[in-house]
Amino acid sequence: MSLLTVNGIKKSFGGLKALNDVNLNVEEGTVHAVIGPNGAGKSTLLHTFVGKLKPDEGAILFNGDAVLGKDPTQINQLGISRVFQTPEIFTELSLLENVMIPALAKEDGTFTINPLGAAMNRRSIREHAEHALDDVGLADKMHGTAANQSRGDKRRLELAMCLVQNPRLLLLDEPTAGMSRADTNNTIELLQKIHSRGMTKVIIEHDMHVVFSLSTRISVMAQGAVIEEGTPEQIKASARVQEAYLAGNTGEE
Amino acid sequence: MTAQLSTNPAAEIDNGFSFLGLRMTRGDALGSALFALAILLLPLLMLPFNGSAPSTVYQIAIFGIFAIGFNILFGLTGYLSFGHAAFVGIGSYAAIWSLKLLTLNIIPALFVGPIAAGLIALPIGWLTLRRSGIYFSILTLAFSIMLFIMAFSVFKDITNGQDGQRTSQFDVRMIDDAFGWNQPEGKTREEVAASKAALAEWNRELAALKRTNPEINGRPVDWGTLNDFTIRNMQEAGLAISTRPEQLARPSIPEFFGTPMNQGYTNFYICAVVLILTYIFATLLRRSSFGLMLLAVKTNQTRMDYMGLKPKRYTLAAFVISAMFAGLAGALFVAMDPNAPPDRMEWTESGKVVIMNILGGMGSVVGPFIGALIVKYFGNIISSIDVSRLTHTIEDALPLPGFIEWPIAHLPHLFVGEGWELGMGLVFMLMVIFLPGGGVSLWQRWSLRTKRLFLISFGLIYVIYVIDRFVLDDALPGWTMFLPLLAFVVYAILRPIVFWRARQAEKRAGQDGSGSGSGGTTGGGGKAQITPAGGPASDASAAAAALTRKPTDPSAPAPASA
Repeated sequence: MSLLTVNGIKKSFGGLKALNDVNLNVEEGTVHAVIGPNGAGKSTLLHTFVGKLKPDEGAILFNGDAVLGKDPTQINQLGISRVFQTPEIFTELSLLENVMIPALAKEDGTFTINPLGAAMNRRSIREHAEHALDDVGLADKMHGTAANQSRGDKRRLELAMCLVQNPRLLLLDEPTAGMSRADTNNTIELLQKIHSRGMTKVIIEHDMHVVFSLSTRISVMAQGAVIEEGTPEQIKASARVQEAYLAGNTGEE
Repeated sequence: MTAQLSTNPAAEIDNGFSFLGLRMTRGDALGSALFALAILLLPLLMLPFNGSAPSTVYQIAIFGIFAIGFNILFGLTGYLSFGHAAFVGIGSYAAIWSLKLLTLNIIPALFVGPIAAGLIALPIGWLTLRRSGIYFSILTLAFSIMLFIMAFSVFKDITNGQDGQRTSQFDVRMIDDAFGWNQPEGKTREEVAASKAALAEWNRELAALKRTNPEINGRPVDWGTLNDFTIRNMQEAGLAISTRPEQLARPSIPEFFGTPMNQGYTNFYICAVVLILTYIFATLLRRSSFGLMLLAVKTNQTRMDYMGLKPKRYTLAAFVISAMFAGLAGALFVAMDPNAPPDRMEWTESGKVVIMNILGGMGSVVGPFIGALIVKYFGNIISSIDVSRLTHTIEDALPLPGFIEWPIAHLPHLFVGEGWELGMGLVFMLMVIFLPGGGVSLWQRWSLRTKRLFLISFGLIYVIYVIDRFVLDDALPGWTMFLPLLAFVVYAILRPIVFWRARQAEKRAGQDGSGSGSGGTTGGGGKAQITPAGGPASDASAAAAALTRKPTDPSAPAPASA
């Protein structure tokens, strides 16, 4: 069953056609990678999924609901979470608090005034948050300030912030950008571990090693359109993709 | 700016303490108890500082409420409003009208004030919170100036302009009259009712006369200023007007279930109870998930959008709550002194509460109160020091020749007495430059030993004061009791400088050697950074954050750090 359906999305910035008739189907339970050279429109596409950008034309359906016309808050409530390219976290708060905020959002809704109950005493929320931090391997640092963490840890923190909401669809924007090889491998392991839960994911990634180790389905974008879609094997074998983008780099160096 | 924002520095779940169904962490409960004790003893604690007059301490308490409430917006969400004094004014006017129209009892007034302020804050917040940063500040400033000017023009009937609105014995006071409360002394309810009926009848008679007799002997009658003399004149002129029935004098001083609010410390203790409740509320709020969301607003609103949260609603709620506390402060002013002047709404008052928050330490609960204490102390006590008193003090302390004594007395006089605002400004400037986290962050930066020394030297003030007062019969000059504190201040300023030198030397040695030079500095606290030479501010706050993460909660000074 198709969880996310993208139909004929178009978006131009002035004269530049960033997205030119993009069609995409993300099946439930898959890890769907979107790859392509710089400027292919991958990030723009992701922005339209979470309501950060409004496409000029087209439709996006998530689980049968229209995504377009909803604001980011409503889209999140449908069950879509996003990890940003540069970590968007609450830098002045502790890691635990960072993760508790989305957990509370999931539990209490968009807005609740309950000024008289200590947040930290809400055992179920706290356990969820600690569990999510444990999943990404930050449990021992949970009382540290987010601002003082390394870049890799900030990314993992943001991942935990998304995971704690247990979204139906997780969008990852270059989860390993700027990471060392070892960190990248850790992230791959982590994402593989999460995958066993059957959460659907869309990954935008440059690193072919990451893409081929994680994804079950790949779409290749170039110049604002999807030029090829298939299983990793099909993509590796595709002459068009080789020519347009991969140029022999299949992550098996 | 604040070193420590997190709502829960403690590592374990602290189920703490349950009171009336409100759960507090142990640290918070202890902090609240200490705060309550300190407030209840405030008049005593202020004795050596000359600041225990009822009018001083109740103003400190009311401004404390205002500042603690303001911190919910400014300290937690980071939105700097320059218009909160307008809500103090609105609270004042609403409360005075409650005293005039409903009852002289202050309890309804204390509810009406915040509710009115909250209702007016709602649309203003909704509009101004569309912008953040400097634009928000300017918008709130504009609104408050607008309301201030409207108090003189459009709403002059409500506010009575520059003179301010006051209670009077002729007020309607529907609840009082319905239940026979606050009636003239020694009169029964029936007598009062009869006197009122007679007066009403007389007024009707007068109205009829007004219609039929616009003038007497060819001169227009000034019906507005009828007194017994003019009435007698009218009767002599042949007008059928009867003598005004006797008006029974009703009280016009607000009261708390029979206790009039004009009795020094009674006033203060009413304010003190409200202040303590405010403090407890602010503590609970800061630890709650709502408080956590407000801190999240401060750091990253975008992320909240993508998490299914509505940050705007949280900021609006914080705006309204802080405005309600401002309204409560305004209502208390009126309850203590039944006069609502428009000066309370002036934008300089909004600036004062910002200064209080920054001085004391925004983001913490107790900080704003300390700021209010400092500002009101300057405004009420330091401002009353004059040059002759300074000269006397110096003469008592040291016999100096006049040409030395004169500058010693006159130089500080620039900053105290009439120049107190200059002194206040100097303190504020020094604080913002060297201690951006406010007074509370100073405490957080101190090591346990420094904290102890401070408490001892501070406590010695009281010891010396008591000994001087009861054993030595005021034989010691007043300034002697501050000597230990002075010694501590010198120590606190010198130690980091010495310490910093030592660390530099250690660093130099560390560069030559193994390179592990920075490890040993934790013992002395981050105090090194408060010196002028202590490196860039970001460095300082990062180090302070690292140091203060574990130790104590700013609102609970007692539990020991590292």
